[in-house]
Amino acid sequence: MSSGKEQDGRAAGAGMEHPAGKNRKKAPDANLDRINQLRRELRRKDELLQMSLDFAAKFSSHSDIELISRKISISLSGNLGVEKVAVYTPDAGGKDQILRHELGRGMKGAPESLYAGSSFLRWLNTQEQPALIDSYFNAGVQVKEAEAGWLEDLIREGYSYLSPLDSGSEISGLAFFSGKVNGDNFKERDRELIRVISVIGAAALGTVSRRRPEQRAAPEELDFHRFKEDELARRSFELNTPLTVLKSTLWSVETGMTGEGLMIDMARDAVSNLQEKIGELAGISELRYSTSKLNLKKTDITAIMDDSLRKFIPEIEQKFSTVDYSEKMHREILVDPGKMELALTAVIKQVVEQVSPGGRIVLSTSFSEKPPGEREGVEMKVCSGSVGDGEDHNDSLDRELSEIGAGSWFIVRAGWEAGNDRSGLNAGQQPPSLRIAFKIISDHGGRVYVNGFGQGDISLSIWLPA
Amino acid sequence: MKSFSIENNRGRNGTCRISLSGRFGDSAAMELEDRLNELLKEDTREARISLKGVSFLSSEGIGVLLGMEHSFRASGARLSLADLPPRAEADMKLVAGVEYFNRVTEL
Repeated sequence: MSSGKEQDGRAAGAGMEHPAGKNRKKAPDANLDRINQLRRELRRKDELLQMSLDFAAKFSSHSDIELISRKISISLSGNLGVEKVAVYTPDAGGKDQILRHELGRGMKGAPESLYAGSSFLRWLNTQEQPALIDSYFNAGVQVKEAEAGWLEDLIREGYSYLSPLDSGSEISGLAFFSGKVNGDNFKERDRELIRVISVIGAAALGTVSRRRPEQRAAPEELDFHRFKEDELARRSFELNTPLTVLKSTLWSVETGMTGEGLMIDMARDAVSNLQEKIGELAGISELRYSTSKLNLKKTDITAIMDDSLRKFIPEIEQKFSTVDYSEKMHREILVDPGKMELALTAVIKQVVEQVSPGGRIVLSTSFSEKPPGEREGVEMKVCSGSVGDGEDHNDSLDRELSEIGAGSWFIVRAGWEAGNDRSGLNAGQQPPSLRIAFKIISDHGGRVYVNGFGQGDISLSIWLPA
Repeated sequence: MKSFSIENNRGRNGTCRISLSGRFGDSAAMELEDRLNELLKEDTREARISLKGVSFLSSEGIGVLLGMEHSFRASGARLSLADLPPRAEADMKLVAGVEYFNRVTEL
């Protein structure tokens, strides 16, 4: 039917004689071809829209994660022509991904659970979907042993591709699948379908996860929400000042007073400030307890640290404290600037709160040699009081480390652990803002090393991959 | 109309025969997936599925057939299709290439 319409169109175009000669006849034909191409594109988009509505109706009519995962599996399989699909969603703690459904199970089957670490999710963020699992091994990322195990198991089971179930603001799960049974590569239509199924599936899974009682009851998540609310309130308050300046400045410009140029500059600064704060608000609203989506950009990490520090100038002055940069290096690395600023602000806030009156805050940013099992990166140190002074401050990251309890996103230096009270760092007792800051750094593939944490003293090293 | 019926749970040589009829949508697809998984657990060596009575074959239905064909093959068993209506055959060819499935002329 469609080809008939296209033929009719061409016939009508061909019948239109142009007075200027034969060469000029090609123009209407070219236009008709373009129109027909657009019609085909429109039909394809219409078909995709209909399918999207169907998927939305199918996925959102259930309140069971296993059932939604199952529908995602069979939809991916039947629309892409693949024989194996495994859908994973996070457990209640958000640490491990649990296999919810496997279609086309082989002899051994896909792993029951897997730990998708921050490096893996960070890599996945940079990949066009569907990502080829194998390419993770060639991405120049130090693949952790725990990750390599399940990745190899999946590849052995016949899985080649991966797509995050990503609603745009939240990764609600992972879908692994084999290649097409007819041996073809995934075409643009397949990629569109994967995007549609992933987004709608993720939204349905996210809605159900938020309703689960064990999620609601998690104390760490309650802290998370409290922190988020506090930060949103603080940023909203900060929005008022530049807004007031903007309003009064603009009013002044209209009166035709002298010094209009200065006023306009002030207005521009105020608007820039406003935009920056709105960006921060957007970053906060994107934060998720399980896995936050990162909008990675090449950013000067020292500039973020400076911006974070600047917010606490009044408190620092009030305490008569001094701030020194022992080492400062400008290096652009891939981070989500909004979320990293949030993390560094939380860290510096803690340091400023703990520094004794008249005390010293020492900061540094430096290129880091490869710590054990990691890549090259940037190391930032933030110290206050006696802990940060002297030799300890210049320690390199290859010192022996020991990891504290499961569920932590930071590492305590082994040497320090022995002689210090670390009760302040136990899960549930450390400041929620600091825990969330560590989680954001961990989501970036980074590490936080706690050199010291006690009365009046704090010393942290933050390592981020370059 | 029931989405599918099982004609003979375990026939000669361990072969199970399944007849599908009506609209083979996502619910029927999941029902079939459950049934075929049960057959695998029962060490069924071959399952033959007739699609003669199928008026509509959804992509989810094709997905389950593709996935379960693989599971049967991985277990050393066989999943065969019979009596494909022309439209279902065209849909399958569009997604997977119908030659992917083992075909039998009769159930």
